[in-house]
Amino acid sequence: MPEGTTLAPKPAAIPDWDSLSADEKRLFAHQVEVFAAYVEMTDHEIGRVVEAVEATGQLDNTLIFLVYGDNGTSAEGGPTGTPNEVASVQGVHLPVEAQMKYYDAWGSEKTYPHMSIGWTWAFDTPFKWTKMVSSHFGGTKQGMAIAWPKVITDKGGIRHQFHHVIDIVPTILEVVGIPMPELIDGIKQSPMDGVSMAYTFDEKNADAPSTRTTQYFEMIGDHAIYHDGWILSSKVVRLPWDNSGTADKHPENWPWELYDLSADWTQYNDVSAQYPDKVKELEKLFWKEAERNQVLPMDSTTFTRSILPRPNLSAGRTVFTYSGEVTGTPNGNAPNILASSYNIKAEVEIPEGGAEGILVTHGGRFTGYGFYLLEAKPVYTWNLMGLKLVKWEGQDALTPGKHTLEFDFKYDGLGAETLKYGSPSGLGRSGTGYLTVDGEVVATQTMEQTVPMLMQWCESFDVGADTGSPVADEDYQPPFRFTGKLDKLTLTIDRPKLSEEDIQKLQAAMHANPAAD
Amino acid sequence: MKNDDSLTTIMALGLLMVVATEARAADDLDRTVLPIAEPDRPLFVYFAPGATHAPHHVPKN
Repeated sequence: MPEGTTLAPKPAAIPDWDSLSADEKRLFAHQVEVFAAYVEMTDHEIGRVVEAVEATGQLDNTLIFLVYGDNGTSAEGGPTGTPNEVASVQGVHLPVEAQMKYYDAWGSEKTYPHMSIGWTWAFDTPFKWTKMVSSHFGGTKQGMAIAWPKVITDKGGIRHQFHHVIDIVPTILEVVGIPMPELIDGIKQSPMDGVSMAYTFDEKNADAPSTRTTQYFEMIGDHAIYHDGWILSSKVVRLPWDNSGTADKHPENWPWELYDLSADWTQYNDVSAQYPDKVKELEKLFWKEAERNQVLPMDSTTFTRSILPRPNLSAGRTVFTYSGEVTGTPNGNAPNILASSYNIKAEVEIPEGGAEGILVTHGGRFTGYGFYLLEAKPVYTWNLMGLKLVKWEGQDALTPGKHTLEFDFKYDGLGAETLKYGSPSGLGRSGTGYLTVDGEVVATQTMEQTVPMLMQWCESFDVGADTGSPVADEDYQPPFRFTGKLDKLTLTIDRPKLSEEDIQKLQAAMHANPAAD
Repeated sequence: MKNDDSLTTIMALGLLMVVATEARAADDLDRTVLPIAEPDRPLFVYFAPGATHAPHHVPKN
């Protein structure tokens, strides 16, 4: 940083360290110790890649780019961090006391952890904000190191030119002397937007003007345009850890902030009032670049956007049938039973001596459901974000021969359609499940809360066996393949439909809150 | 890099992309990058470990 760089102030939403309780300090410190160990391990492994190149005798003639970070450091852990990110991104933030139970397991496969936002922001020093805030450098700026001993003789030299990650490929193409192909397999390629950074290798060009003069940024409505040493940034309207989908729906109207980066690296002084003509010029450029790069229309909804219907194999279907084992269906093509009533019917044949194993499961240790036989007894389990297991269990082992097992769930909420009216109120509501064996109810239970939006994103939908992690560690470990015969599994979804009255109420609420319009 | 056929194809091109996650980073390296680094063979590697993206997974040691 040049001398005189001003440290960006801490957003008010991030509490001061001194204001934290002793338990909060202990937990947050441990969260970040694990993060530090994770970074250290990665650094070690990257070192092994470099050593492998060195062992060939070619390190001198090898060009290495090292980019380190996650956009900016991520704030997805929310104010207190989380042992399970699947919970935090859906707005479920665990009290510190509850998180302490995971203290020793933090960083192991029994957790899906993320640190608290105070530390996140500290790692983005001296910049403003964090990952997901594309308008400010705490969400975009990363250090990069380039090594090529044979060519780059200015060892340890520092370069300050403004460049973007898309400039790496053109740099490689230039130094190896390969032009960007215009056609690949007869298909005309999009023009290369990147520009080479190879000019910066030479010490003579240490202070040469940057060859990248313009760059737009946009993420979840937050946006900015860099041009010739200035950046026009949208004001931060949505906190980067707020995934409720209720932020102002018109990013195109968010106020602008203007910064002169030649004198203000950290976007400290907003000079938009002083340079109205510059604001106009850059605003025009932003819309041009946004149009050219398919950014429009901008959309400020977050994970609610991820569950809207889209073209895929499951779109528009309400009945899914399977015969035998089918594992690994990704979330996008899996039947989505969240915020809905549903029925899962398994027609099975139990051999002499009984059977066990998975009938169907979606998700795993950090959120998901499983329908399985445990010592020949039927069990249906909901794993609520790793915080709670809700189970329906049959008391009797299934006798050899054919049986029909059903899990029927009646959902009480209005469903995902409320999102059309800017409200997540239809999600995560209560419901009652009935487990039946050959038409007879053997277990009934009401869930006060259900998973609102997302299954564990790294897990899949599996019939007849489980991949990834188990839904209930205490019951089984994958693959827990079904040892009977699964003749047919039918999954039927009955999505709630809004009544005229529901729609009127939602519209009234939306008009009372223009931000959600 | 689960599919060994595609790995073979990529290695034949002298190009390798490794997307390692968390604790698997070391195993993936042993199986992929390290064996193909040879003196007379051009090497192009994307090494994309899980860090520093969530989840923050790291072995105890």
